[in-house]
Amino acid sequence: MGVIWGNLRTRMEKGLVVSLISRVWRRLRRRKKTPKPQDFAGATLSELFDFIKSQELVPDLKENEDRLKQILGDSSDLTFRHLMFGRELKVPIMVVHVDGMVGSEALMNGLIGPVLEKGLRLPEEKYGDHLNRDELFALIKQQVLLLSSVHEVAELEEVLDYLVRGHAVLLIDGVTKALACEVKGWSERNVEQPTTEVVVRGPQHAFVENRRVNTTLLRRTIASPLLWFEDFKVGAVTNTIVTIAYIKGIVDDGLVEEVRQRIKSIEIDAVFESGYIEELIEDAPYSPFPTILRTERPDKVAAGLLEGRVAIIIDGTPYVLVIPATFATFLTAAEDYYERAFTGSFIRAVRAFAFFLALTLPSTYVAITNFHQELLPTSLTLSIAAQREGVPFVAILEALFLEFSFELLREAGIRLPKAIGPTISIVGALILGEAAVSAGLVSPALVIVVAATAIASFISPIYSMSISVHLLRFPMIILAGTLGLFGVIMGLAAILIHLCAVRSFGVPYLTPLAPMILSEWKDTVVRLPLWQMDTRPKSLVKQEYIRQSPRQRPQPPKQDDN
Amino acid sequence: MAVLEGGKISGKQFVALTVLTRILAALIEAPTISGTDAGHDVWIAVLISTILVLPWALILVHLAKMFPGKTIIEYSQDILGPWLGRLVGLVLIVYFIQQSAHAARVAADAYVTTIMPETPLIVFIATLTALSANCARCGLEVLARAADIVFPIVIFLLVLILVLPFNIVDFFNLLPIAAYGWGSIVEATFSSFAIFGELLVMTMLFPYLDEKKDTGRLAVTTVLVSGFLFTWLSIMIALVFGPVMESLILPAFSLSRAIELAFVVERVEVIPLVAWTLGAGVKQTVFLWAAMLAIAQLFNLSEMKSLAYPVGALVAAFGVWLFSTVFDALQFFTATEFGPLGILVCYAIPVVLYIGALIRQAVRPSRREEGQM
Repeated sequence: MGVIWGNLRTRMEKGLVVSLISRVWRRLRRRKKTPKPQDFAGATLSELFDFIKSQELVPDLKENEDRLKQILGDSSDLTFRHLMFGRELKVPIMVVHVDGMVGSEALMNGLIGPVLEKGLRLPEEKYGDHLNRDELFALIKQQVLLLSSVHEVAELEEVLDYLVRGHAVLLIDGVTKALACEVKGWSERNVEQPTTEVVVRGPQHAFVENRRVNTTLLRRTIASPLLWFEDFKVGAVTNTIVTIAYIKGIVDDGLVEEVRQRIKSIEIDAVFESGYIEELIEDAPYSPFPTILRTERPDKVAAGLLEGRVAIIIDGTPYVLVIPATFATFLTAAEDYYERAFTGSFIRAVRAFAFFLALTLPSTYVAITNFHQELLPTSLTLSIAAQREGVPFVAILEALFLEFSFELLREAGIRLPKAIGPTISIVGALILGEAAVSAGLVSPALVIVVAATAIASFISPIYSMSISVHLLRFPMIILAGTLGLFGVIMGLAAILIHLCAVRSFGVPYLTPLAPMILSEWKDTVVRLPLWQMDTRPKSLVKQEYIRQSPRQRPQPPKQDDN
Repeated sequence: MAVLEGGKISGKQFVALTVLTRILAALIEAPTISGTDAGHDVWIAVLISTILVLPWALILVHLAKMFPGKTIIEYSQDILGPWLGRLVGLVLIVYFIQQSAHAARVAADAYVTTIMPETPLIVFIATLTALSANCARCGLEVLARAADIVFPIVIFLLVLILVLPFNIVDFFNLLPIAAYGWGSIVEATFSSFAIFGELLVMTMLFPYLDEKKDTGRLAVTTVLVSGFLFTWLSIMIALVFGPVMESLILPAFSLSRAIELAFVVERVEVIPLVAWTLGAGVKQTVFLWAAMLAIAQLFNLSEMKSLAYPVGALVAAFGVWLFSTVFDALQFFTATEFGPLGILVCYAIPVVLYIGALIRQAVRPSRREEGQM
């Protein structure tokens, strides 16, 4: 009897009275603060944001539901599920989620199922019908939900944030807190082969649109506790999660801080692709050259991290940014390291030559045929002159025309539906190429030049660098057509000066060529065998300079001569 | 006071910059030293002047060490007092601008005489100057990085010109030594010496070296490397052309034109063209930068970037106006033209400054410590 009395008294004191008073008090207080629900007619974005911020969770489920419906505009994909907890208790519980963003299996087996079951099996005699709602909240959170990730949230703003990110939110009548349960499950592209950076030998998986999958791919490549991730929210409307990744201990802390600052200073409404972040944090916004590397290969990102770079993973795009990026980075493919050293070195030389060729071949052709015929061997001069015999245009117009039609073909080839693709190549190759020559509009030599240039320009492993070369070719041709070889040299010099002036997050763009750092040439000009690459790039790493132990050259075991 | 030039350059970059500054002279002026009649003995003159230049270079280094962190514009005021020192500064500014214009003009003239005879001179000068001004505006560090890239290219091209004509050399062309008498060799030495004076720009670069210890070694390397290239080039031209060489306007260009190997390597005139355009560009930019820095220091300006285009315009105007023909430009520093003046500016001024500094040091022994603070 005494026990019951005492129990009742405690409950009276602690539970009923206190909770009743506080509930009434809070409700009164809220009533005053909460702006009157409106139909949002003519509301601006910032007004809406302020309104959402001013809203709070209330004990009454129905009111919460109304508010959520009001803020989400009663969107058709918003789903409310009302439950009753306990056979006798009958505590109203509401589960909210956005349809399509949660996995129904996880929702049923992890959330709704266990909650209902627990309610039915609850020993009523232990609690009577006066189960404290806050205790019930803790009970559900700790003992009922069969989910790995459950967050307690107190603000309506947070509830909304979790909702639109694919969480199911559980609300209990009388409690001004909610449980955000991770039951994400939307349909998504699987990890597939890279489409823009193909290798013959090497890992064949690429990043996908899901940030979490991408961080997983990185973790699986670098299984180290020192691989750190940091999340930022960018985009006032899209609320895109941007994750930076680095290896603590290798990376220069100053670089990480710089990246943090630059990302934090972004104020934009939407981020759809890594290009948005790239354009808002790069050092040389007016440069035709990219100063941030983007790649879809996890192994490439991992290699960059191990050199002391920072990666930026953006939710919703398979392209990950790696910074800082120097000019040499864009002429490097992952496969250089997977094939043997000689192959890698040779391919790099080919790439550097191709870059130069793509930039200068058409302009040199224009300069020489227009101004300096005497620079060619006689027989070649005669042959080109014979080809240009019937061509009605000067070389510069001819070159611009052909280069432009090549750009047309390229763009059409990318944008067209796959089914019509072959048509374009036939029209382009046969009709434009062959017919233009036989009609005497362009000379065959120029067709060869433009074709060779086109192939050379696509040899860069990173597409954004190819585009830069494409762009720069046109001013080069115009310079060549007006100033001849002098113009070509001046154009190259201007590009060189620009490249020397550009930096990427503090690192000069032409490192290690200028400033010359000979110890880094082992991995830029050539690709030395792995056992000779004992150090990390000096320009990136401040403390952890040594990468592996030296003198690892493999040798056959010494044999006795019999 | 604000820092005018925040950049630092490494020893390698210093050598690259200074040697490149000399490439233009190496390719166009030095091999024949036109205007003198030393003929095939020019290489002796070049060799002698190289040796003669060494002590002067060491004086420049020592001056820089006595006044660490200061350019010649600043320490000339410390040594000679504010007024005389400023006068010296003014003279040097004119010299720097003249040298910058000289580089542009010689390169432009080389184009007009060789491959583009119909294009007006001003087109080349204006284009070159616009680029130089743009580069000088970016500061010393960008310039040094550009030199880092350009240096190996130019040296490679130069060595190519020097090696490829091996099948057409005639060693008897060097004989007899001193064919035109030693007098003409002395005259040529004088001219070569005056051209060497362009290394005075080192005094503007010394304060921005990031390794102070090896300054002397770097200066000597520059003198020796450029002297070696000059000598080699004049010997090669003498070997190939012999008595004809005096009549060549652009000997390096003629040399490359003479190259013909097994019907594969021929018509390589582009090589010296590229080399001297790049060399001229670097020289013009270095002197333009030096002039900008000198003006900013002399007139106590708070920044020098905005000077790039005005001074560049001055350089372009000088380039057109300073010389009437290509021969004027090429013979600028011969004994009968502006050679004595060049020697006065480049050699007399530093030597006087050095003596003055030594006297000051003797009078006030604490002067040196003060300077190092």
